[in-house]
Amino acid sequence: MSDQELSQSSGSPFSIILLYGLIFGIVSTVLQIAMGYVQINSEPSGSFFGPTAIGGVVTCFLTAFAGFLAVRAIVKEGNPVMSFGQGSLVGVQIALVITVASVALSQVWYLIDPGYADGIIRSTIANMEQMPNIPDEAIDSTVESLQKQFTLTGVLQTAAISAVVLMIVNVLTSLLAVKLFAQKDEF
Amino acid sequence: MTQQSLGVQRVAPFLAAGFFTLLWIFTLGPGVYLEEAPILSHWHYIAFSSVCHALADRTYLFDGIQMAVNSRCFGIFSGVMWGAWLHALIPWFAVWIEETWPKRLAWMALVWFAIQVVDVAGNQGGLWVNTLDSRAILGFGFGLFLVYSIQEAFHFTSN
Repeated sequence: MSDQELSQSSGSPFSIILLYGLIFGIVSTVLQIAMGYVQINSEPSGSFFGPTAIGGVVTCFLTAFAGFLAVRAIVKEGNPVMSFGQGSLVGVQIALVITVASVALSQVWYLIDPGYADGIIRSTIANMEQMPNIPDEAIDSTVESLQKQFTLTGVLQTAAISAVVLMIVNVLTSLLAVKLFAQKDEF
Repeated sequence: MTQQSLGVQRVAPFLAAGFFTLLWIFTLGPGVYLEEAPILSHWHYIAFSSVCHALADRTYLFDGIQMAVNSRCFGIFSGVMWGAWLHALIPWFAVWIEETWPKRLAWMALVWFAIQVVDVAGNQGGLWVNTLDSRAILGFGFGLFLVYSIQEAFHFTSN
């Protein structure tokens, strides 16, 4: 192995994936939880686009482009040659790290503040009651969904199902980054 | 290149297009096969929850039932599907653009993404009001350029 090859391989792609996955997982979860508190402590507006929805928009932009930024960082950190196959793998891995970090952090937070889930459910009901022409069945359905989502089984089911789409999206954005920043390599 | 690998080369973009078509069908939501709206924790909604907020007033209905993704994301997934089919059916066009203006398509995808951010910010800031259709159209452009710019990834190469 030449010196150049050695220096190129010394930047560990997995540590970058882990770092970016943890950062994006933690930031998106903290943002969602923080926006949840804003919703709990604010007056019901009767609009779907509340604080948690704003948090959701920012979170989806962040999590979708985590793979893009990770590939860019890996390339800049001394791994200029990357194939589309390797880029895809980065997308899959970063989606997994984000999912695990989000699940772990949210579960810890539900233990720290057991009243958080109840607060979200109550504020959601209060908000929906302010909306015109919302039938009681719709409110009941939303409450039922939220109650399920705050259980451990619900959280794990949600994480497992949503991780698949998160992987697909991150693979696409990772491939875009390979195209833009990496030097060409065969599969 | 052998006859076999040439055959795989031709089939791969169609496989990718088929995969993205299946994903697009999932975005249509449970209205594809259910007659009554399910609860919001239905797997269709959960599947896309990490990448899309799918608020009721920002989401199209399919057969009277809320889709799995909002109108912008529906546009993006539609663009991804059509981009993949465009590449599968007219492969020389993307190759020609790529050879004429290298990386131009990828930068266009990023520009389209920036347009999404500006559109969201402008709407939230009260500068303009976007609609379901305008969000879907802007999303479509991003999805189309995103997949079209990485079309090489859907080729198998033989070493």
